[in-house]
Amino acid sequence: MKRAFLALLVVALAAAGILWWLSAPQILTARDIPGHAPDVDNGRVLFNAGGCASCHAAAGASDDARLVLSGGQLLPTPLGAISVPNISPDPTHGIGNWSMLDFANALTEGVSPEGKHYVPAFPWTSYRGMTLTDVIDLKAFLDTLPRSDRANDAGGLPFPLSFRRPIGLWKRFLLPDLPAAPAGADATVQRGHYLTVALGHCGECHTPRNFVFAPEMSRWLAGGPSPDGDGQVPNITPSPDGIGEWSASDIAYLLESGFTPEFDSVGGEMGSVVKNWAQVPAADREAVAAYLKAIPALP
Amino acid sequence: MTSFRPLVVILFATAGLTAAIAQEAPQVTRGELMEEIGKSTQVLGKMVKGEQAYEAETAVEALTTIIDDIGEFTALFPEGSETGHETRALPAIWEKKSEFEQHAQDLQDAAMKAREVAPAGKEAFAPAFQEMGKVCGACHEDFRAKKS
Repeated sequence: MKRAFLALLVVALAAAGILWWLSAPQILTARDIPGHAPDVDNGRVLFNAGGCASCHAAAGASDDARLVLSGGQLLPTPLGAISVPNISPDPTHGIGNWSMLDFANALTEGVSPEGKHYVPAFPWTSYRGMTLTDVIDLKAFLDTLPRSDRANDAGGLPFPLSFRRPIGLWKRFLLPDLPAAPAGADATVQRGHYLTVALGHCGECHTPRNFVFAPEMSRWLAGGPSPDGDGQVPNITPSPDGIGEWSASDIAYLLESGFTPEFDSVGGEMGSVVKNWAQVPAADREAVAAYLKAIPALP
Repeated sequence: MTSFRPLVVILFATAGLTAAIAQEAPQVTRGELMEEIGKSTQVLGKMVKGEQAYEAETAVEALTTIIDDIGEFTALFPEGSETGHETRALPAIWEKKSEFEQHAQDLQDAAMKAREVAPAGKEAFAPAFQEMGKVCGACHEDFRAKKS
């Protein structure tokens, strides 16, 4: 009896050890960061395409107020509300003290400087597709923004959800790779793919999720229930159920103006998305449109 | 004569709406006003986009409809009309009433500015229309529910 108990204990400890090892954050090291002279103007494009202000600026902010990344919005998630952190360059309350490596690990690996997994409400799940030179340019732009001394809200998700380690298993076993560019994509479609998938993180809402909250890549951008639980997110594939009737210029015009071809003005989170995309160069909006015309049409 | 037809249609529609306000639920009336604003926006947008030839007179008519309709809009959210009749009104309308009313005022102001510059031609009108679009989106962002 005693021996059986000991054997069970050994197995349990071994299993726990394996789980601990499998769930460990995978991070970049200093050697992974390429030598690259930061391009602040490119960083500004990435900032707008990436939609940082939608969550990290104050709720409903417009124009220059969108450049103050003080955090504080409450994001509804299936696990509870999450308070968005201050990512202004303030060294105490923001991320002014972060190294380039810290920043790269946050964006592309979903791991904080303290070595904790980020909850995927922060869409590192998409930003992981960014090139590291773009990560460097984005940080250079963020470093130019105003400092905010708003202290981050204490707390966060309640225990046991505050225990982030299981996210490591989710990353390793459940999170699928990002979709590749369509076969035969020209330079415009490839640019649009990069902007849509990695920066715009369109798939976070427009691709449905399965019961473990992983995106269903076979339904890429085909819409589904809204992640915040209210209403539907539209299908944006080029099918009759999606936006197949829209021309590429209709799509680009929506990103610029917020108007659908019927001149309904989009709202909800998409209202904020349009504020971002109105600020990117027209060629990039057109690239996103070209990509959305090139992806598989899904019902 | 043809150029007057939209005006006649709008006049009849407005008259119909005014008659309807007496008997309809506010959810229905405000939905119809927003539909009419949407249709007028479409008239304007198609001219800005170049899908239809720009006509200053048509633009002024459509803008007048928008200005009148949005002027009636915010009075149509009495207590008790939070749900029902497939309304897409979000609770934020009642929670942040003054902010909601400011958005409506912003639209009226933006449409009035656009109406002032519309006779000067499409180049002058297009930026004013873009400003109107921003105002539409700003309100829909926080106060209108997604389609279900």
